[in-house]
Amino acid sequence: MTGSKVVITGMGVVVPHGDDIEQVYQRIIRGENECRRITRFDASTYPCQIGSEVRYEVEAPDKIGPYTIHNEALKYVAGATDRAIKAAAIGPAEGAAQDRRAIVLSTGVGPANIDFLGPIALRVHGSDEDPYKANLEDFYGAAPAEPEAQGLDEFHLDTAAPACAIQFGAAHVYNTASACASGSHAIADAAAMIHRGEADAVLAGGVCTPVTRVLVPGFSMLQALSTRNDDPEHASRPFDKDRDGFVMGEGAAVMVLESEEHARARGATILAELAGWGYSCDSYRLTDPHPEGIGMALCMTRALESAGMAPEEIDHVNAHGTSTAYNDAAETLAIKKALGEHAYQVPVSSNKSMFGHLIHAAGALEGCLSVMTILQGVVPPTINYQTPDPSCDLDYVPNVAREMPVNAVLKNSFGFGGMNVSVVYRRYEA
Amino acid sequence: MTSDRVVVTGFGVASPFGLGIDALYDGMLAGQSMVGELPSPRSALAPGYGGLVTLKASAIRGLPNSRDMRPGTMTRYTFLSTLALGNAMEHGDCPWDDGDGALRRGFYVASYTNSDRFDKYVRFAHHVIDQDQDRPFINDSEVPQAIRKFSGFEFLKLMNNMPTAHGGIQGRCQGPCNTFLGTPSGGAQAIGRSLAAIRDGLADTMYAGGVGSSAHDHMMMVRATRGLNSSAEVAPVQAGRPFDRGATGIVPGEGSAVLVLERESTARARGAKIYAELAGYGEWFAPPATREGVQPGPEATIRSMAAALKMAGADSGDVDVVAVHGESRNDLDALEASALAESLGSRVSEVPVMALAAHVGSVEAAVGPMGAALVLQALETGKVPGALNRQDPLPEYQGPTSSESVTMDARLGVVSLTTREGVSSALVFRKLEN
Repeated sequence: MTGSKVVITGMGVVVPHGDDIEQVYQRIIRGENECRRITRFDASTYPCQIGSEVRYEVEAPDKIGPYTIHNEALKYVAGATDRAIKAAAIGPAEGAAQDRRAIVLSTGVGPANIDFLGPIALRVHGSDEDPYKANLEDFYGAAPAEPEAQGLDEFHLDTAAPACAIQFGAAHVYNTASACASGSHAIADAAAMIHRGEADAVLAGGVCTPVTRVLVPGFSMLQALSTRNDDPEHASRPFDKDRDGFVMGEGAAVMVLESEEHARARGATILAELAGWGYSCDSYRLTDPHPEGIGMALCMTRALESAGMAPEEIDHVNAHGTSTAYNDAAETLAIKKALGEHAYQVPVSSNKSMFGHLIHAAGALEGCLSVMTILQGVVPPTINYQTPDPSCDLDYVPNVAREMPVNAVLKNSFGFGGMNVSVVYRRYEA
Repeated sequence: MTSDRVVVTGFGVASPFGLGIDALYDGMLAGQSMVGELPSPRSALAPGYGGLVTLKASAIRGLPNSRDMRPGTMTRYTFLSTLALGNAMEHGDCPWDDGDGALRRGFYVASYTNSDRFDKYVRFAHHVIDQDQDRPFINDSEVPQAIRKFSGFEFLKLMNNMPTAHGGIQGRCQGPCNTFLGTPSGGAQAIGRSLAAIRDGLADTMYAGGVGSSAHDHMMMVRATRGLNSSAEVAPVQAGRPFDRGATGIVPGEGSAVLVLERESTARARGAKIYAELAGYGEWFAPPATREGVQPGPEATIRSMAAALKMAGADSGDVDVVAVHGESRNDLDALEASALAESLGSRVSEVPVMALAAHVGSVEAAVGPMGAALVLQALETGKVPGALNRQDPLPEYQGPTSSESVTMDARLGVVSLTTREGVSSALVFRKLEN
């Protein structure tokens, strides 16, 4: 293990606020909201009709190696990867040099998109009593149809990480998932690989396209989503007493992480240091965080230990802050456990108030915004904060961004199933 | 960071032969295949056969911390993973619930996907799709009603990290927990990353493994669209034919395996039986030439095995036994065979090559961990199963073809995987001298 300092040299995003991280950040600190009524399909009869969508044409390659970039998720992550590589001014490695490059990507769609099932469902057109059994045999007997093969791929997204690996020239490819903690998990794993001396440069982040006809009503059934349909811009309201669930968001965000030596040797611009990371698992319940935030606090403490930092050295907490009753209260408790009295001094904000929850990409996008916060010295607000909740009694930077020097940000990401990751981003000093 | 070695103190398996390594290994030593006709109505779908784990939900009862496990909240993947983890905890005589011990324990598991109920989605689509001039469109007004055919929990349990989430509760793991996806190398990756996690000091104990369930409609349909399924015209027990010219394609299968990995000092402090050292891990990605094709050459597998042996301080001359992917399609098997020939050199004809697919079909992300369990059992027992359905080997395959099991003093074993997705991986296990 080399103990190399891990630095960030490039970031790329394709998210609801745009595809340029600096412009996205400017919009975020102005408190601009992208949570609106869903436009991708007619959700007017759905329990939740709100989403945070990418509503612009995304520039991305049509094909990468053998992989056709045929759906939104692949476009988003290929586009974000392209932008991160350009921002870092790092070309793809070739030959044996690929051994020092890796991809750690979190992809999450699963059985999310029924649009592609149209052709399949029509071919498997059994009776209403049993629409599935009747003609499935015909399906198997037929020649493969490319739209169907592509559609079935959407269940896996198993081509996203390999496609990014081709873009980056990496010989090591990890496709991981820890639900809503995934984006930060991928970045932390990437940092660990560099710190350990396994890699010189790793591209890490996440992509998710959950604003679909299956997942929006599906997560409504779990009572996880806001139903403030008549007021979508105020639906995502983390830490507010009247919060009623999160808003699904979509997009991709990735970072180029390097060892300090590698970055300096090639003359790269270093944006920030990834100073520490911590993992934990609640080992409690599948659906709820531990009510006392034990697992959440544990990963924050581990991240601080990993960074060799005291709680007082944290200037800002970029919260997971989903806008659900359980998460925001448990996270507040956990911040107090991990930071002690300093919890009441440190500004805590949730970017999700402006773009909802990007699930597998959330931690990566919010990590990019944490880096921008260090660079620009403006802490993003938590918008829609109107009514204080006694169980959420910290300084949530309500509604207006705050200018202040920021040297270190603690970024939290917590996932369904009790998986937790915290990452410490710190101002880079040579 | 620890300078301790990382050792294996237990391993659990769920396979079509039953629960536990002995059931699987004894079946393989006897030259048996558990590939049989699939239950109706899947028996009508090509290829109509596969290797199914027939253990019932009740099999979870009695396993460690089973009171916290609810089979109704599990996909097939989560169920199989839960069985293997519970079996591994028993095999390793691991603590069930040791309070703060959980803080130093983690769980990494691989699952190619976690979606096993494609039928539900097709039924859902059927109810919301209308047709207009031969063009299907989704009638959104039908969605809220159709979605009621699911329970809310259905969406949670299909999340890709659910095998890990269940395992985190079952194994009392409050250390690092994560899920690896998208390639049959995922299980080897989970084990390799667990090795790193222990060496980094993030945990003293890691449960690490993988689960595969390719004998359901969704995976069979994916393979059908890509023309990868084995032929329905072949007798089921002869369908899995790794490295054999007569192979016709991938045989649906199921299985799971989890290893108990520990810092050597932790294992010795609790008096655990040590089966072997996990001494090396390597991997390399080379993209396939086409979406349906394979890597252009065997270099990725050669590199991954070389990296694993180098980490272990060993070379190919030290390798006594190998477990491989052996997908049972000639294009990938030829690559894997070429890599073995190059990596093992002059010893390629004498090193036994174990290939699960002949016995249980394709187990996706479980192939690495199950292969690891086979290697560990070979090191433990000194017996290695013979080759099944390998009578007419591919020209690239230069390894043993005898169906007879062999007895040997195996000291070092390798798991080496070549995958259609392009991610090759390797693990090295070394028997310790006490």
